Amino acid sequence: MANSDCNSKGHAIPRPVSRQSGIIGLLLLLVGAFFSSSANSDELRSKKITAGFVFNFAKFIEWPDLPPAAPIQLCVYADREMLNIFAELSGHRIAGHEVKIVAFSTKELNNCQVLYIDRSRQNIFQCADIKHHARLLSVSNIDNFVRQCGMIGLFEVDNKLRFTINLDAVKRSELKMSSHLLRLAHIWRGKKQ
Amino acid sequence: MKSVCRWFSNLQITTKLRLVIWLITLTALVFTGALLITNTRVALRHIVVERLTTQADIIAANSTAALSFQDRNAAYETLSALSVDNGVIAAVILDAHGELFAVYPEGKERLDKFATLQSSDHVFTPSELFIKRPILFYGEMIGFVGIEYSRKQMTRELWLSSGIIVLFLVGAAFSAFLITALLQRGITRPIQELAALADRVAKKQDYSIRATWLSKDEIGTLAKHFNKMLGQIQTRDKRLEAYNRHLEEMVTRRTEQLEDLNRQLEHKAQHDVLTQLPNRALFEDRLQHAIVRAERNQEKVALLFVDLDHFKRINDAYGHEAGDQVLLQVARTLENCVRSEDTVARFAGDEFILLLSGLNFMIDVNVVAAKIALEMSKPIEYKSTPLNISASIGVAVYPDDAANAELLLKAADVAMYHAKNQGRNRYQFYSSEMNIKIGERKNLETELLRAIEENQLLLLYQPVMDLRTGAIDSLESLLRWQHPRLGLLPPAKFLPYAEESGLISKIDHWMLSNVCVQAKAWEKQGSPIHVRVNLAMRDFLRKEFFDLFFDLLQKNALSAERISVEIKEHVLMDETPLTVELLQMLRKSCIQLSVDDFGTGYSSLYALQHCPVDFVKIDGTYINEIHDNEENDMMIRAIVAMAHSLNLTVIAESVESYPQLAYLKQLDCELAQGYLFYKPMPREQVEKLIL
Repeated sequence: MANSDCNSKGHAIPRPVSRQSGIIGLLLLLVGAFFSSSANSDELRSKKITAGFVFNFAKFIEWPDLPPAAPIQLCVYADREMLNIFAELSGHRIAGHEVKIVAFSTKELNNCQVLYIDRSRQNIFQCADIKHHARLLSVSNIDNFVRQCGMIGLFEVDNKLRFTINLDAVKRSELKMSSHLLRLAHIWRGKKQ
Repeated sequence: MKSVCRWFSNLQITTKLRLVIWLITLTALVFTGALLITNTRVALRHIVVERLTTQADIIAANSTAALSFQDRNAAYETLSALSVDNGVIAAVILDAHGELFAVYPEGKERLDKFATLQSSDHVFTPSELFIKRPILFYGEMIGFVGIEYSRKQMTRELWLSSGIIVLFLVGAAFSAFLITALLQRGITRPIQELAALADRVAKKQDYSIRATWLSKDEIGTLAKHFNKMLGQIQTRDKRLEAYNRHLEEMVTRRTEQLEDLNRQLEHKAQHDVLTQLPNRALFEDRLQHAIVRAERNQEKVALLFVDLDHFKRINDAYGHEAGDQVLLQVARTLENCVRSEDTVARFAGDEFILLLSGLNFMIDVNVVAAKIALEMSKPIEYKSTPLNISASIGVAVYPDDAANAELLLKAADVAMYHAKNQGRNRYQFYSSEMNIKIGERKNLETELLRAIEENQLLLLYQPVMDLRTGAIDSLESLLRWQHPRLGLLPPAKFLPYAEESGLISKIDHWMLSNVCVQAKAWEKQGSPIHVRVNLAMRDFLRKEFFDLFFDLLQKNALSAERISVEIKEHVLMDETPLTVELLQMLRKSCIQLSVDDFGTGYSSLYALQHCPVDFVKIDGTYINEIHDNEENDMMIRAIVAMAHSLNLTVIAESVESYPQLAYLKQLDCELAQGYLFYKPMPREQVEKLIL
């Protein structure tokens, strides 16, 4: 019920046409399309992969006390283009939960299960905003995001997107993270302070 | 196949049983082995497929993140976990489009094979197994895991399992072998024991052996029944044995009896049944020996041939029992007369013979012969009747009288006959002249026999005159022998021989039948004349002869009055109950009886009185001497007077002169015959007188 409320309050992102095809398929499709059509297709492709990654993270996370019918609200804090890309993922289901893409606002943060902060909004983001949300998975491609307060930080190596997980932040939160995810990630265990 | 069957049926039961069990076990084991190995193969395949499927699923589960985040390294790492499985040739992760995402180890993948497979499938190629499993994530198929598996490993595992199976089966076969060897003894041993028992019984013929294996199964039953059967055989055997023993005893007894009988027979063959004296055969044997011994020792052997006088008369008059008694008595007497080493034998009938050996002096023989003659003349008592008997003894001595046993016997025989002819009741030593007479006698006997057969005998008839009327009263038939060489012979010339040889019966018979026929013939011709016939009477005193006589009368339809029989005086003398009875029978049948030659013997007036006699014929010697001396005349007078006083008719024979006739007439003698009236004449002549 909270989700439906959230939906109505946030920015609704239109659902993609084909819901049958898998996320990876979609991603590749998108990549293909960008390669052929756009001049800055590399950038678009990168954005789409990033969006796919964020969506896929949600699959390896377990939120406590999430009612079965409740949606997973993915709150995006990015530019317009990136937001549109995310919007295509809206309506997909993860473990029975419908995925809802919502444009980030501080008010809405309580209803968000996943928060993505794009590097382009680096300046606006403050760690304090997310610090007290123990049930929020925070993802960003901002450099040193995990070192500040984020849970998953995205980075590129050899033109491939990779991620670092702040194990302290995950432990502090109430989220349960799949070991499969942890196995793929670079692990950051926090500062030895 | 037939030869195999035959080979099998000839096997020992142990081998058979073992073979059967082993074959069954082996077959079962081979099938079990094949089944197990097949099953193992199938199971192994299933297990491998299962295992690989599981592994693929694990890989799939662990690859979701790598696929989701395009992390090929992580996917490779996940796949590399399969390196622990030696059988894995290669493993791949394909994305949702079937594009290769990760491979381990690189370069060995066979994507074409995986492409042909369904999303969840496996396929076996000759050397490999391909397995494909989907990678599912939240119900979405995000890729595939493919594993290429070497079947070498599988084959190796199969070989291993098969090896173990075979090892177990070999173990099982071995156990079966052992168990068979152990248990089969339980089946075959009793059978073998039974067979061995049967074999032993058959070989030893010992039915007392018993089977000891008495289990409760069929073999036990068989053994039990076998024992029972043996028992029955044993019982039967015993019975048979007893029966055999009984038979043997019987045979032994019979053999003894036979031997006894044989001895008796032998004794009988060599001894006379009645007197128990050696018989002729044994005697001849002893004679041979005696002669051989005498020859060697320069000794003499004497033979005494003893013949009883008138023995036949005793037999006829008193019966055979009396005769036997006489013979027995004689035998004992003879035995008593000689030494124990001498032989007394019964030769035949009333003939005995004595063999005296080892003699040196003729005087010895004389003594013995005289003693015998004396002893034999003593009467023998039979049923308190003294029987008068005497013996004629012929003596011959070896080597004086004969050169061998046969001739010696003949010589003794000849001497005996000579003694008989000398007047009986005497002994006579052999002399060579005797042989000639003996020869004559033998010839005469032969000729007489032929005479009867060839009808050389004939009858003459002499009329008997009635002195009171001067007419012919009757005819006396007189026997003659028309000898082919010697001419017509009177009875005195041949009748004694006939009497001795027994031919007299035949002659009597011949006479009687001829007289009957003739008398009938005359009767038919109108002259029923009375005919007198002289019979020797030896057989006449036998009942059979009477039957014959009556038969003849009946056959000829002749009245008994036509015939009268003349008997010698001595027949009356030997008066016995049988004689009297027979004579009375004769008298009753109206046959008249004359006493011939009356006055010559020791006639008993008593006999004359009691016997049914009708006529008395005065002997011719008395008639011839009429008027020659007074005593003779007195004698005739006395005879006639006596006869008349006994109501007997008197016949005078040999009347030759008128003075004689006159004298007889004077004495009232009724009948007479003689040359004065008629000579004996042939039938034709007499018929002229009477017809």
